[in-house]
Amino acid sequence: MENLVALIIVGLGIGLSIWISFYHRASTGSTANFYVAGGGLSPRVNGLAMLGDYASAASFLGVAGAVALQGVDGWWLAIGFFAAWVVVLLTIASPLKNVGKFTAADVLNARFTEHTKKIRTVAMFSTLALCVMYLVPQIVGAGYLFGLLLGWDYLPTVLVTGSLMALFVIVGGMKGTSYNQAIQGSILFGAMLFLLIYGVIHLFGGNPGGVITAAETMVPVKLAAGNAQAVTAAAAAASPGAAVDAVRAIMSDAPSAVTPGVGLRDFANQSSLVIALFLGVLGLPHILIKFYTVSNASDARKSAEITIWGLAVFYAAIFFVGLIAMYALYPDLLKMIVHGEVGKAKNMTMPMLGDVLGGQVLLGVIAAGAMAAMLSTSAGLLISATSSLSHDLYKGVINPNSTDVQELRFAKMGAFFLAIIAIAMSVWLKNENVAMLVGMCFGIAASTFAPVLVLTVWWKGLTSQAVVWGMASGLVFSLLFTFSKFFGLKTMLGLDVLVNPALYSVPIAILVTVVVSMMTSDCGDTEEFMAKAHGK
Amino acid sequence: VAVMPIAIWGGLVVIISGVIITRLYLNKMDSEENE
Repeated sequence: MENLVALIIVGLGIGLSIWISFYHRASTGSTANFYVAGGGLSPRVNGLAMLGDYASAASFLGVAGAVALQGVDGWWLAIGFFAAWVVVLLTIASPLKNVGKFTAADVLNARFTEHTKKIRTVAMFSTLALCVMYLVPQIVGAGYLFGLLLGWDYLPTVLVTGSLMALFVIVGGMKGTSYNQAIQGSILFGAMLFLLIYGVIHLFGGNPGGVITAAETMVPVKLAAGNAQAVTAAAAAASPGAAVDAVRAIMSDAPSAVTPGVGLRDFANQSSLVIALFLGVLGLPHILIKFYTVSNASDARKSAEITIWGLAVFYAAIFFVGLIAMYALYPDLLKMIVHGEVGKAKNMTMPMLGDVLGGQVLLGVIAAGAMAAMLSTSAGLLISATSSLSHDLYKGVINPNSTDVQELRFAKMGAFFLAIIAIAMSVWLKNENVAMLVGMCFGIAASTFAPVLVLTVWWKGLTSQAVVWGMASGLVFSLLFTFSKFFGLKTMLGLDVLVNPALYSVPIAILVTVVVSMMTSDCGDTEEFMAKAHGK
Repeated sequence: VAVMPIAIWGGLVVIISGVIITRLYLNKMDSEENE
């Protein structure tokens, strides 16, 4: 077999994850243990788990690939992810933890005692839409990865990955998933640093300045691919360094890999992406639920501190690793783009760099890390989705008198069915760009939970009716423009369809929320809720 | 390090600022809780 060693390493990684899930199977006996590990994780494990959850396939594979193709502009995606995490921490992390509820719907219902079923229902639909949409890029990324390693067809790959992630959640619950995420976060982090250090030593003689010098010489792959003469010269070069120099000699006036503006879209598309990235994390349930898996607000802050340091190093390192990848893979990336393999070029840069630098072993470690990122993020998403399904729909609406056992059975069945939906959508959307799909999820989150959660904990004038209408309008419009994009429509409701729905759906959601708040009067238990949320 | 292009500095400044802001915020929360 072509990549046997790499495959064994990936297999060992997956085997370890499954063993951890089975080891913690006893901890899924109650809903509290299943959803939030009984609130009993240590800050260190939870911090590493948040790192593993946050640094998903989009970060590990997508950002490095974006930097490798278009230079410094690709890094701003990572900066957007990082800045968004800080916004979450400063605006809603502590208040939500103080309120002490499982799901976003619980938080909303802690303040509002009227229209609770409507709030739960809209919140549940938003959570399900978000989680399924976020699962799709993880599975699509895994499809490319197995394709690279095994030469497998897309369909069996997607079936294997989808089944594995459902197995993690059904068997392990939040505790098993969190320990997996902590280990996988560590693998990702280690793999990133190893690629950086080994790449500098192997390709630049141990001189970090060599990476900057090379970056100032390199014409971004995305630009060079449009010049036939440059492509021919790069293909004929004896080494990647020679290819870089040959392309620069032909395109002497072209921007370099550290010139801003190469990868920017038009103003409307760029604005939409920025709004989605900046506000999206505020509404992503799989990140928010992590603040509930430790026992108190102080431990939540300790976790957050571990995560922020990890993310800072990770997102700084990923840029330089992306530049190293551009240099090491320059002719290969050019060839892929010219041959129409753009998806592979964007998503498989990291494993290919591992192969070039360290052969089968490093390819295996990187692939195991990437697979870990996809599985851990998927499992975290599935936990959030099933929590919402069983807690908000089953316990909150269908059967309020249900027992823990009934609710848990509903949650596990939910994980199974959601995995099937996500797999089916992954087959349908297999040609979509992974980073674009993740950006769309951020756009949906920014249009649904983000405005109402921020306003719930910071604005006394918010009403229960406004929560329902704000979330519902944000969900409808974000999905409308997202699916318009999937179906290839150019315009919708007389507006251009953009790469991300946020430019339209976020202002609509905020406007509807504020206007309905001004027209209605049920502000909920404002004083008591605010005092609890802000620890007064 | 000093001769790094401005685009790289910009990104690093955002990351370092994020860490500093987070540290200050977490310290503030801790001190408020201890009072």
